[in-house]
Amino acid sequence: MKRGIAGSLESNDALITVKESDTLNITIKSIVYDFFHEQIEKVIRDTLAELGIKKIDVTCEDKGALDYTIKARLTVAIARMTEEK
Amino acid sequence: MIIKEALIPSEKEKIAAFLQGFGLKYESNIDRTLYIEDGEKIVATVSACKYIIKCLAVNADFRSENLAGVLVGEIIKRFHAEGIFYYQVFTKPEYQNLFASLGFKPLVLTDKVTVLEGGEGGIQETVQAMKVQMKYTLGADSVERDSDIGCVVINGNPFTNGHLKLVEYAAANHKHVLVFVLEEEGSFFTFKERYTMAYLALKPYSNVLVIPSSKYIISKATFPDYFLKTADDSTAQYAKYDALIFLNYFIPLLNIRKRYVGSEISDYMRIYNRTLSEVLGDKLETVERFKEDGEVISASTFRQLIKEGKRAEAFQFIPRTNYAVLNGILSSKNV
Repeated sequence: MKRGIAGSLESNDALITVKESDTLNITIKSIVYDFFHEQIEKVIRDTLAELGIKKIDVTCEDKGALDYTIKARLTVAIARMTEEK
Repeated sequence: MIIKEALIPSEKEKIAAFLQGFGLKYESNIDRTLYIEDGEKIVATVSACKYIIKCLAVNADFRSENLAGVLVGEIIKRFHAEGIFYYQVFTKPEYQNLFASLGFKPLVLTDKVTVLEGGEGGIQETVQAMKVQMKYTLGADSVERDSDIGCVVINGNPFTNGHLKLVEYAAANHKHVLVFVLEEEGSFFTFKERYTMAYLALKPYSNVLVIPSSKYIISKATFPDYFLKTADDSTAQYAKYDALIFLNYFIPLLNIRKRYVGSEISDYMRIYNRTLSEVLGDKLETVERFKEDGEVISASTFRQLIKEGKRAEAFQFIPRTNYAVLNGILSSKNV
Protein backbone atom coordinates (compact mmCIF):
# COMPACT_ATOMS: atom_id res chain seq x y z
CA MET A 1 0.00 0.00 0.00
CA LYS A 2 1.35 3.42 -0.95
CA ARG A 3 1.95 5.98 1.75
CA GLY A 4 3.35 9.46 2.08
CA ILE A 5 4.43 11.58 5.01
CA ALA A 6 5.30 15.28 5.34
CA GLY A 7 5.75 17.85 8.06
CA SER A 8 6.97 17.60 11.62
CA LEU A 9 5.80 17.67 15.22
CA GLU A 10 7.31 21.07 15.88
CA SER A 11 5.19 24.00 17.01
CA ASN A 12 3.22 25.68 14.23
CA ASP A 13 3.62 22.65 12.01
CA ALA A 14 1.69 19.45 11.38
CA LEU A 15 2.76 15.89 10.60
CA ILE A 16 0.55 14.59 7.82
CA THR A 17 0.43 10.94 6.80
CA VAL A 18 -1.54 9.79 3.77
CA LYS A 19 -2.35 6.28 2.63
CA GLU A 20 -4.16 4.80 -0.36
CA SER A 21 -7.69 3.83 0.55
CA ASP A 22 -11.04 2.73 -0.87
CA THR A 23 -12.85 5.37 1.14
CA LEU A 24 -12.27 8.92 2.31
CA ASN A 25 -10.98 8.85 5.82
CA ILE A 26 -9.73 11.90 7.70
CA THR A 27 -8.29 11.65 11.22
CA ILE A 28 -7.32 14.82 13.05
CA LYS A 29 -5.34 15.05 16.23
CA SER A 30 -4.61 18.57 17.35
CA ILE A 31 -3.50 20.54 20.36
CA VAL A 32 -6.23 23.01 19.45
CA TYR A 33 -8.75 20.36 18.41
CA ASP A 34 -11.70 21.87 20.23
CA PHE A 35 -11.26 25.25 18.59
CA PHE A 36 -10.06 24.38 15.12
CA HIS A 37 -10.80 20.78 14.10
CA GLU A 38 -13.58 21.88 11.77
CA GLN A 39 -11.30 24.45 10.17
CA ILE A 40 -8.51 21.87 9.76
CA GLU A 41 -10.88 19.37 8.22
CA LYS A 42 -12.15 22.01 5.81
CA VAL A 43 -8.62 22.85 4.68
CA ILE A 44 -7.91 19.14 4.13
CA ARG A 45 -11.15 18.59 2.19
CA ASP A 46 -10.61 21.70 0.06
CA THR A 47 -7.03 20.70 -0.73
CA LEU A 48 -8.14 17.18 -1.68
CA ALA A 49 -10.86 18.64 -3.89
CA GLU A 50 -8.33 20.90 -5.57
CA LEU A 51 -6.10 17.91 -6.26
CA GLY A 52 -9.08 15.92 -7.51
CA ILE A 53 -8.70 13.17 -4.88
CA LYS A 54 -11.85 11.51 -3.58
CA LYS A 55 -10.56 8.40 -1.80
CA ILE A 56 -7.66 8.58 0.59
CA ASP A 57 -6.70 8.05 4.20
CA VAL A 58 -5.37 11.23 5.83
CA THR A 59 -3.98 11.46 9.37
CA CYS A 60 -3.09 14.93 10.57
CA GLU A 61 -1.18 15.43 13.80
CA ASP A 62 -1.43 19.15 14.19
CA LYS A 63 0.76 21.32 16.38
CA GLY A 64 -1.04 24.57 15.71
CA ALA A 65 -0.22 24.83 12.01
CA LEU A 66 -1.72 27.63 9.94
CA ASP A 67 -4.02 26.78 7.04
CA TYR A 68 -1.43 27.14 4.33
CA THR A 69 1.03 24.99 6.27
CA ILE A 70 -1.52 22.20 6.44
CA LYS A 71 -2.27 22.61 2.75
CA ALA A 72 1.44 22.50 1.84
CA ARG A 73 2.15 19.49 4.06
CA LEU A 74 -0.82 17.59 2.65
CA THR A 75 0.14 18.38 -0.95
CA VAL A 76 3.70 17.16 -0.38
CA ALA A 77 2.56 14.03 1.45
CA ILE A 78 0.29 13.15 -1.47
CA ALA A 79 3.07 13.88 -3.98
CA ARG A 80 5.38 11.55 -2.04
CA MET A 81 2.71 8.88 -1.96
CA THR A 82 2.19 9.11 -5.73
CA GLU A 83 5.90 8.99 -6.42
CA GLU A 84 6.41 5.88 -4.36
CA LYS A 85 6.79 2.75 -6.49
CA MET B 1 18.47 22.97 14.63
CA ILE B 2 20.68 20.06 13.68
CA ILE B 3 19.61 16.54 14.56
CA LYS B 4 22.52 14.11 14.61
CA GLU B 5 22.54 10.36 14.58
CA ALA B 6 24.88 8.64 17.02
CA LEU B 7 26.98 6.20 15.00
CA ILE B 8 30.47 6.08 16.46
CA PRO B 9 31.28 4.70 19.93
CA SER B 10 32.44 8.06 21.35
CA GLU B 11 29.04 9.60 20.53
CA LYS B 12 27.27 6.69 22.17
CA GLU B 13 29.40 7.08 25.29
CA LYS B 14 28.38 10.72 25.51
CA ILE B 15 24.71 9.73 25.14
CA ALA B 16 25.07 7.07 27.83
CA ALA B 17 26.59 9.64 30.21
CA PHE B 18 23.82 12.12 29.41
CA LEU B 19 21.11 9.50 30.04
CA GLN B 20 22.68 8.52 33.33
CA GLY B 21 21.90 12.02 34.59
CA PHE B 22 18.20 11.14 34.16
CA GLY B 23 18.51 7.75 35.83
CA LEU B 24 18.26 6.03 32.46
CA LYS B 25 20.42 3.23 31.12
CA TYR B 26 21.55 3.20 27.49
CA GLU B 27 20.48 -0.30 26.51
CA SER B 28 22.53 -2.57 24.33
CA ASN B 29 19.68 -3.57 22.02
CA ILE B 30 19.17 -0.03 20.72
CA ASP B 31 19.60 0.19 16.96
CA ARG B 32 19.17 3.91 16.38
CA THR B 33 19.91 7.02 18.43
CA LEU B 34 19.28 10.65 17.54
CA TYR B 35 20.48 13.66 19.49
CA ILE B 36 20.65 17.43 19.50
CA GLU B 37 23.61 19.46 20.77
CA ASP B 38 24.02 22.98 22.06
CA GLY B 39 27.65 23.70 21.30
CA GLU B 40 29.48 20.59 22.44
CA LYS B 41 26.88 19.62 25.00
CA ILE B 42 24.10 17.13 24.36
CA VAL B 43 20.73 18.64 25.26
CA ALA B 44 18.24 16.05 24.00
CA THR B 45 18.22 12.46 22.78
CA VAL B 46 15.90 9.65 21.76
CA SER B 47 16.52 6.05 20.74
CA ALA B 48 14.67 3.20 19.08
CA CYS B 49 14.86 -0.56 19.03
CA LYS B 50 12.95 -1.94 16.03
CA TYR B 51 9.56 -0.18 16.35
CA ILE B 52 9.93 0.76 20.01
CA ILE B 53 10.89 4.30 21.00
CA LYS B 54 12.83 4.63 24.23
CA CYS B 55 15.47 6.54 26.16
CA LEU B 56 13.98 9.97 25.53
CA ALA B 57 15.57 12.71 27.62
CA VAL B 58 15.69 16.49 27.33
CA ASN B 59 17.89 18.85 29.36
CA ALA B 60 15.68 20.78 31.79
CA ASP B 61 16.93 24.16 30.47
CA PHE B 62 15.59 23.32 27.01
CA ARG B 63 12.17 21.95 28.01
CA SER B 64 10.24 24.85 26.48
CA GLU B 65 11.67 24.30 23.01
CA ASN B 66 9.78 21.11 22.18
CA LEU B 67 12.96 19.21 21.42
CA ALA B 68 11.11 16.01 22.33
CA GLY B 69 8.60 16.72 19.56
CA VAL B 70 11.39 17.42 17.08
CA LEU B 71 13.22 14.18 17.90
CA VAL B 72 10.15 11.96 18.02
CA GLY B 73 8.90 13.48 14.75
CA GLU B 74 12.25 12.73 13.15
CA ILE B 75 12.34 9.16 14.41
CA ILE B 76 8.82 8.57 13.07
CA LYS B 77 9.98 9.79 9.67
CA ARG B 78 12.90 7.35 9.82
CA PHE B 79 10.44 4.59 10.70
CA HIS B 80 8.32 5.42 7.68
CA ALA B 81 11.34 5.42 5.40
CA GLU B 82 12.00 1.85 6.53
CA GLY B 83 8.42 0.68 6.20
CA ILE B 84 7.62 0.75 9.93
CA PHE B 85 4.15 2.24 10.32
CA TYR B 86 3.31 1.13 13.82
CA TYR B 87 5.31 2.16 16.87
CA GLN B 88 5.28 1.93 20.63
CA VAL B 89 6.79 3.97 23.42
CA PHE B 90 7.89 2.66 26.79
CA THR B 91 8.34 5.54 29.18
CA LYS B 92 7.91 6.79 32.71
CA PRO B 93 4.35 7.73 33.69
CA GLU B 94 5.28 11.41 33.94
CA TYR B 95 5.95 11.54 30.19
CA GLN B 96 2.56 10.18 29.25
CA ASN B 97 1.12 13.61 28.47
CA LEU B 98 4.15 14.55 26.38
CA PHE B 99 3.65 11.52 24.13
CA ALA B 100 -0.11 11.94 24.09
CA SER B 101 0.50 15.43 22.70
CA LEU B 102 2.61 13.85 19.94
CA GLY B 103 -0.32 11.74 18.82
CA PHE B 104 0.31 8.56 20.84
CA LYS B 105 -2.48 6.63 22.55
CA PRO B 106 -2.01 5.14 26.02
CA LEU B 107 -2.08 1.36 26.01
CA VAL B 108 -1.08 0.27 29.48
CA LEU B 109 -0.35 2.21 32.63
CA THR B 110 1.39 0.65 35.59
CA ASP B 111 2.81 2.51 38.58
CA LYS B 112 6.25 2.73 36.97
CA VAL B 113 5.84 2.20 33.25
CA THR B 114 3.58 3.73 30.63
CA VAL B 115 3.21 2.16 27.22
CA LEU B 116 1.72 4.16 24.37
CA GLU B 117 1.16 3.26 20.73
CA GLY B 118 1.05 5.32 17.58
CA GLY B 119 0.73 4.93 13.83
CA GLU B 120 -1.44 2.44 11.98
CA GLY B 121 -3.41 -0.44 13.43
CA GLY B 122 -3.90 -0.18 17.16
CA ILE B 123 -4.84 -2.93 19.58
CA GLN B 124 -8.56 -2.75 18.76
CA GLU B 125 -7.85 -3.48 15.10
CA THR B 126 -5.48 -6.30 16.01
CA VAL B 127 -8.05 -7.96 18.23
CA GLN B 128 -10.77 -7.54 15.59
CA ALA B 129 -8.53 -9.34 13.08
CA MET B 130 -8.11 -12.19 15.59
CA LYS B 131 -11.87 -12.39 15.92
CA VAL B 132 -12.27 -12.80 12.18
CA GLN B 133 -9.81 -15.68 12.25
CA MET B 134 -11.63 -17.27 15.19
CA LYS B 135 -14.94 -16.97 13.41
CA TYR B 136 -13.67 -18.84 10.37
CA THR B 137 -11.69 -21.58 12.09
CA LEU B 138 -13.52 -22.15 15.38
CA GLY B 139 -17.00 -21.26 14.14
CA ALA B 140 -19.38 -18.36 14.61
CA ASP B 141 -20.20 -19.35 18.20
CA SER B 142 -16.63 -18.58 19.25
CA VAL B 143 -17.12 -14.86 18.77
CA GLU B 144 -20.59 -14.52 20.24
CA ARG B 145 -21.23 -12.58 23.40
CA ASP B 146 -21.57 -15.68 25.57
CA SER B 147 -18.73 -17.66 24.00
CA ASP B 148 -16.56 -19.79 26.25
CA ILE B 149 -12.86 -19.28 25.50
CA GLY B 150 -9.84 -20.55 27.38
CA CYS B 151 -6.38 -19.33 26.60
CA VAL B 152 -2.74 -20.37 26.82
CA VAL B 153 0.30 -18.27 25.93
CA ILE B 154 3.44 -20.15 24.98
CA ASN B 155 6.87 -19.57 23.57
CA GLY B 156 7.14 -23.25 22.64
CA ASN B 157 10.88 -23.41 22.28
CA PRO B 158 10.19 -26.20 21.29
CA PHE B 159 6.60 -27.40 21.81
CA THR B 160 6.72 -30.18 24.42
CA ASN B 161 4.34 -32.75 25.89
CA GLY B 162 4.00 -30.31 28.79
CA HIS B 163 2.55 -27.67 26.48
CA LEU B 164 0.31 -30.31 24.95
CA LYS B 165 -1.02 -31.40 28.35
CA LEU B 166 -1.65 -27.79 29.38
CA VAL B 167 -3.63 -27.09 26.21
CA GLU B 168 -5.49 -30.40 26.57
CA TYR B 169 -6.43 -29.40 30.10
CA ALA B 170 -7.73 -26.03 28.91
CA ALA B 171 -9.55 -27.65 25.99
CA ALA B 172 -11.37 -29.98 28.37
CA ASN B 173 -12.63 -27.02 30.43
CA HIS B 174 -13.70 -24.70 27.64
CA LYS B 175 -15.60 -24.88 24.40
CA HIS B 176 -12.75 -23.20 22.54
CA VAL B 177 -9.11 -22.57 23.30
CA LEU B 178 -6.79 -19.92 21.89
CA VAL B 179 -3.09 -20.72 21.93
CA PHE B 180 -0.92 -17.64 21.45
CA VAL B 181 2.58 -18.40 20.20
CA LEU B 182 5.05 -15.65 21.05
CA GLU B 183 5.83 -13.91 17.79
CA GLU B 184 9.10 -12.41 18.86
CA GLU B 185 12.41 -13.76 17.58
CA GLY B 186 15.44 -14.37 19.75
CA SER B 187 14.73 -17.93 20.91
CA PHE B 188 16.67 -21.02 19.83
CA PHE B 189 13.85 -21.85 17.41
CA THR B 190 12.49 -19.13 15.11
CA PHE B 191 8.88 -17.99 15.37
CA LYS B 192 7.99 -19.88 12.17
CA GLU B 193 9.47 -23.09 13.56
CA ARG B 194 7.76 -22.67 16.92
CA TYR B 195 4.46 -21.84 15.28
CA THR B 196 4.70 -24.84 12.94
CA MET B 197 5.39 -27.19 15.84
CA ALA B 198 2.49 -25.85 17.91
CA TYR B 199 0.21 -25.99 14.89
CA LEU B 200 1.12 -29.60 14.02
CA ALA B 201 0.84 -30.85 17.57
CA LEU B 202 -2.55 -29.19 18.11
CA LYS B 203 -4.02 -29.90 14.69
CA PRO B 204 -6.05 -32.92 15.94
CA TYR B 205 -7.98 -30.68 18.35
CA SER B 206 -10.82 -29.05 16.44
CA ASN B 207 -11.64 -26.58 19.22
CA VAL B 208 -8.10 -25.21 19.49
CA LEU B 209 -6.82 -22.29 17.43
CA VAL B 210 -3.11 -21.52 17.31
CA ILE B 211 -2.42 -17.87 16.52
CA PRO B 212 0.57 -15.53 16.51
CA SER B 213 0.74 -13.59 19.76
CA SER B 214 0.64 -10.16 18.05
CA LYS B 215 3.00 -7.37 19.06
CA TYR B 216 1.11 -6.86 22.31
CA ILE B 217 2.28 -10.03 23.95
CA ILE B 218 5.99 -9.55 24.22
CA SER B 219 8.86 -11.36 25.85
CA LYS B 220 10.98 -10.15 28.71
CA ALA B 221 13.79 -9.42 26.27
CA THR B 222 11.85 -6.65 24.54
CA PHE B 223 10.53 -5.16 27.73
CA PRO B 224 12.83 -2.23 28.46
CA ASP B 225 14.19 -2.27 31.97
CA TYR B 226 16.39 0.78 31.58
CA PHE B 227 14.55 2.81 34.17
CA LEU B 228 13.78 0.05 36.59
CA LYS B 229 16.11 -0.42 39.47
CA THR B 230 16.33 -4.14 40.08
CA ALA B 231 15.86 -7.30 38.05
CA ASP B 232 12.93 -8.38 40.24
CA ASP B 233 11.31 -4.99 39.81
CA SER B 234 11.66 -5.21 36.08
CA THR B 235 10.22 -8.73 36.03
CA ALA B 236 7.26 -7.58 38.10
CA GLN B 237 6.64 -4.56 35.86
CA TYR B 238 6.91 -6.73 32.77
CA ALA B 239 4.44 -9.20 34.24
CA LYS B 240 2.12 -6.33 35.10
CA TYR B 241 2.27 -5.05 31.55
CA ASP B 242 1.49 -8.51 30.22
CA ALA B 243 -1.34 -9.01 32.70
CA LEU B 244 -2.92 -5.60 32.04
CA ILE B 245 -2.90 -6.11 28.27
CA PHE B 246 -4.81 -9.31 28.94
CA LEU B 247 -7.14 -7.83 31.50
CA ASN B 248 -8.00 -4.66 29.58
CA TYR B 249 -8.07 -5.88 26.01
CA PHE B 250 -7.84 -9.61 25.32
CA ILE B 251 -10.16 -10.84 28.07
CA PRO B 252 -13.08 -8.45 27.42
CA LEU B 253 -12.74 -8.25 23.62
CA LEU B 254 -12.21 -11.96 22.96
CA ASN B 255 -14.41 -13.23 25.79
CA ILE B 256 -11.57 -15.14 27.39
CA ARG B 257 -12.82 -16.80 30.55
CA LYS B 258 -9.50 -18.05 31.81
CA ARG B 259 -5.82 -18.02 31.05
CA TYR B 260 -3.80 -21.09 31.99
CA VAL B 261 -0.16 -21.17 32.99
CA GLY B 262 2.07 -24.04 34.04
CA SER B 263 3.58 -23.87 37.50
CA GLU B 264 7.10 -22.53 37.31
CA ILE B 265 10.34 -23.63 38.87
CA SER B 266 12.71 -20.71 38.36
CA ASP B 267 12.61 -17.68 40.68
CA TYR B 268 12.14 -15.31 37.81
CA MET B 269 9.12 -17.16 36.44
CA ARG B 270 7.65 -17.44 39.93
CA ILE B 271 7.65 -13.65 40.30
CA TYR B 272 6.10 -13.45 36.87
CA ASN B 273 3.31 -15.92 37.67
CA ARG B 274 2.61 -14.31 41.05
CA THR B 275 2.17 -10.88 39.47
CA LEU B 276 -0.04 -12.35 36.76
CA SER B 277 -2.33 -13.91 39.33
CA GLU B 278 -2.45 -10.71 41.40
CA VAL B 279 -3.77 -8.77 38.42
CA LEU B 280 -5.90 -11.44 36.77
CA GLY B 281 -7.31 -12.94 39.96
CA ASP B 282 -9.62 -15.86 39.21
CA LYS B 283 -9.10 -15.34 35.48
CA LEU B 284 -5.80 -17.15 35.88
CA GLU B 285 -5.35 -20.81 36.68
CA THR B 286 -1.98 -22.24 37.50
CA VAL B 287 -1.75 -25.86 36.48
CA GLU B 288 0.79 -28.15 38.09
CA ARG B 289 3.52 -29.03 35.61
CA PHE B 290 3.10 -32.41 34.05
CA LYS B 291 5.73 -34.99 34.77
CA GLU B 292 6.97 -37.86 32.67
CA ASP B 293 8.54 -40.68 34.64
CA GLY B 294 8.82 -38.36 37.61
CA GLU B 295 10.65 -35.76 35.59
CA VAL B 296 9.25 -32.30 34.94
CA ILE B 297 8.83 -31.60 31.26
CA SER B 298 10.39 -28.37 30.12
CA ALA B 299 11.59 -26.93 26.86
CA SER B 300 14.86 -25.89 28.44
CA THR B 301 15.58 -29.50 29.47
CA PHE B 302 14.99 -30.48 25.87
CA ARG B 303 17.44 -27.89 24.59
CA GLN B 304 20.02 -28.92 27.17
CA LEU B 305 19.77 -32.58 26.12
CA ILE B 306 20.08 -31.64 22.45
CA LYS B 307 23.17 -29.61 23.24
CA GLU B 308 24.65 -32.69 24.92
CA GLY B 309 23.88 -34.73 21.83
CA LYS B 310 21.23 -36.88 23.53
CA ARG B 311 18.62 -36.56 20.82
CA ALA B 312 16.72 -39.78 21.62
CA GLU B 313 16.44 -38.81 25.27
CA ALA B 314 15.29 -35.30 24.38
CA PHE B 315 12.65 -36.53 21.98
CA GLN B 316 10.68 -38.31 24.68
CA PHE B 317 9.46 -34.87 25.81
CA ILE B 318 8.09 -34.04 22.37
CA PRO B 319 4.70 -34.97 20.87
CA ARG B 320 5.06 -37.81 18.36
CA THR B 321 3.40 -35.71 15.66
CA ASN B 322 6.41 -33.40 15.67
CA TYR B 323 9.24 -35.95 15.37
CA ALA B 324 9.68 -35.57 11.63
CA VAL B 325 9.48 -31.80 11.50
CA LEU B 326 11.71 -31.36 14.54
CA ASN B 327 14.35 -33.68 13.07
CA GLY B 328 14.29 -31.58 9.93
CA ILE B 329 14.59 -28.31 11.85
CA LEU B 330 17.44 -29.61 14.00
CA SER B 331 19.38 -30.80 10.94
CA SER B 332 18.90 -27.41 9.32
CA LYS B 333 20.52 -25.91 12.42
CA ASN B 334 23.39 -28.43 12.24
CA VAL B 335 22.89 -29.82 15.72
